[in-house]
Amino acid sequence: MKSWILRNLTITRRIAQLTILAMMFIIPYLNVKGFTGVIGTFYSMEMMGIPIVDPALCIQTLALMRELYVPLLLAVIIPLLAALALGRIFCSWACPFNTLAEYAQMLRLKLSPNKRIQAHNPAQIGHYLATLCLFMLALVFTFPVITFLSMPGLLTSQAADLVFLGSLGLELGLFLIIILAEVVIGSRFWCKYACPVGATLSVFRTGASLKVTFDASKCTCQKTEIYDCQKACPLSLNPRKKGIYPYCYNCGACIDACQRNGRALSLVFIHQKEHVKPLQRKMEEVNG
Amino acid sequence: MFFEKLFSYHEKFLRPPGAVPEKEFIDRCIRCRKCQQICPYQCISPAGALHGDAMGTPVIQAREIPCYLCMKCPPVCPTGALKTDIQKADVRMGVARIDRATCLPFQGIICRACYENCPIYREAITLDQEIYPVVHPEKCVGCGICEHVCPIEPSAIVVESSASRNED
Repeated sequence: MKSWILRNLTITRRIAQLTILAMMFIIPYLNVKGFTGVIGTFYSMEMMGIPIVDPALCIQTLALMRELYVPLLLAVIIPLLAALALGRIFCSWACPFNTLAEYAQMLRLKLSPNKRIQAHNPAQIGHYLATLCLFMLALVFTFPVITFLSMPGLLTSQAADLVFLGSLGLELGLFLIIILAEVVIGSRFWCKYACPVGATLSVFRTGASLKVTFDASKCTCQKTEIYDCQKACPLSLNPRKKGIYPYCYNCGACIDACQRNGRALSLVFIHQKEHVKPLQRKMEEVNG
Repeated sequence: MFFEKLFSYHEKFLRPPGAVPEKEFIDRCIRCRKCQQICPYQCISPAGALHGDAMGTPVIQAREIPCYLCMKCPPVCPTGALKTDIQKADVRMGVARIDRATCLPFQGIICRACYENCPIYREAITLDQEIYPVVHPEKCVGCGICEHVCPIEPSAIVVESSASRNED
């Protein structure tokens, strides 16, 4: 089972994404019917009595209130542990905005296949700059601006409002503007440069977190303009080069593409070479 | 502040039980809808986008569905916008006010709808001379059940929310 998932990352991920899109409506529907085992949105949820809060919103509330509210701190443990171990897996596997933006981008490439943008890894700071500005803005104006710009929260709460009240809010306009701009520009700028939810999760990535690695010696691809792995990346990053983090959200699309080629790309927790090298050296010493 | 001027809405929303003062409530509430989703009476709905920075915050429209003080919503609030340890009798969502110009007993028609339905029975609303309803603000929790059951249109008894951004 585990190896099947690793060999079919994209199919598994699509199933997870579509399940979450469906759950956005099914769970509020069950809530209306009286089921309260799972409540909430991607701002904050409660599953069987265990509260979970978006770390970005937790930091915003702590900053605005200048108070260490313990229940709030406890509620970010699960998302933080997930981010520490697996990176921004929430973004690639669960966030409904990313799902819709990926499909919008796929549709765009079907309609005009020549307008693919060059795969490259931007400078790290670009990922955090907008979020830093947003946190400053929230503090200066004492205004919870992150809440209004959290796309997963906005989409799930609008889905819940649709089920509960039968109506949608004007907030949805913001989502439509962003996704339309992404399609017109052809760049996934929101998830890469703007999203405060994703940027906050990126902060908690460590050297031992799950990551994509490229082993050039295994690559069997012919030298081309654009490699399969680059073509597969929904954020148009270049997994053959260093510096895909903090932009990469570990979706595994490049690894899936590499399965058909040399399997040079893989998901690992710790760079294996670093482990192997001292051992090899020792072996050589013993043999030599 | 700039944003306070931009969003200087003088609306006084009726907040769920245990709500912290309004200015703090706007900053604390993360609009997660959990209080709305746990409410068995579905009395809580989010404020619309036209309400500026109050957008998405929980509001009770007591005339439609009042708060029945089941106290299920304060414990699910993740940020402390609703105080979790609040007791039913300590809730102060607002205070009911009676409009004597329309209230039936003051017009000579016997009516005890608000008195009979008040959850703080015989304490928050009493009957003067066994006829005229009187609200006792120090006991009234502001749940809005009286506003909901008032037989005339518009309601002669209305809960005035204690949530105000301009008082302090």
